[in-house]
Amino acid sequence: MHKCLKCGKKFERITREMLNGCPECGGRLFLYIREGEGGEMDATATELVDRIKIEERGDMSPDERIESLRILGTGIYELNLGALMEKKELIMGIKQDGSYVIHLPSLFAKKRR
Amino acid sequence: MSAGKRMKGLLSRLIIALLFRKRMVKIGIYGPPNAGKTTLANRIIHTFVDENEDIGVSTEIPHETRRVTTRKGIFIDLKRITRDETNHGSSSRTDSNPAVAGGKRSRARVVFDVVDTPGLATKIDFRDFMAYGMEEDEAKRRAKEATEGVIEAIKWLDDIDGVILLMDSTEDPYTQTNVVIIGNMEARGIPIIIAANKIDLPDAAPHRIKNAFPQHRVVPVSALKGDNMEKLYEEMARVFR
Repeated sequence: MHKCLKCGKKFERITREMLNGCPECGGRLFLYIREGEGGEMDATATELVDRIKIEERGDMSPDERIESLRILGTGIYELNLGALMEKKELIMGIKQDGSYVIHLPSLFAKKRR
Repeated sequence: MSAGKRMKGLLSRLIIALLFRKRMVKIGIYGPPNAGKTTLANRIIHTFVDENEDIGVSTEIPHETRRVTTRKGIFIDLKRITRDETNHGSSSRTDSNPAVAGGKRSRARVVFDVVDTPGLATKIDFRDFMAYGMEEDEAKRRAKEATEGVIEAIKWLDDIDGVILLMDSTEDPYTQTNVVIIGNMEARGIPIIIAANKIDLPDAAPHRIKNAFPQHRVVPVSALKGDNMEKLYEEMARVFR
């Protein structure tokens, strides 16, 4: 079931016309409601937006991040493959609180080849 | 030993040295976890070295390979393999072998070291391993080793002459990992062959990989079943010489 978030009209299935917007009001945002999730039917767009949990994220995009490895907790690691491949030094970010560890041996290491 | 025999021995060694001087190449098998890298490395070794020799153990648990392992001096002789496959009545061959059909036997030979690497991932979380029934401590240890493995695999790129980038053809190929690896290989000028693995599975779609990376050679294979492997060996002999 799809519900137009602008006018609230419900549709059983997406039709070709709906790709250009709601046939009733032209709205472009639809909510998909799974079977048995009728509770969502009457939610308004604002309520839904409030419900979306945005993952905690850093200020920088992956390209701007300086760390090649981020340790988010014991046994949880985030690897920046681009930085690992392009830079020889290892910079580790600790959690997401702006602490960094620079691995000096990797900076001073001679290239193997 | 007579002087003549000694001379002959020296001569043959010299010829072999000259013939393969520039063909000792290190081929790294790279790719995301669970793409089948170790299965492919084992398949290559079983075919060209010894049926009972394994480079590593492959399981369904991601990050099973956490250290880089190398098997040196693998001699690919396509003429030999084609004859063997024909004798065994293999039905997996999909096309004729142009290297042999064209009568250019030397083109079908290459000696290389195969380097099996840990799967490259952007996030490693011990909780994913616990889903496979691992205790928390063991899962955390595995996560740490897997992270070290990824870094080791990447450092090895400095010593690699060619890459077989293995992808799981039942998965969406357009991932950050694949894009980053390909971009970096292109920047380094390292030749790549993309092997679209697991074509024996019903939901395999190797054409998705071809569409995602049209600038590279994509060879659909099943490392597990051995399907279309000759095509991959041909490409290896051609691209990595």
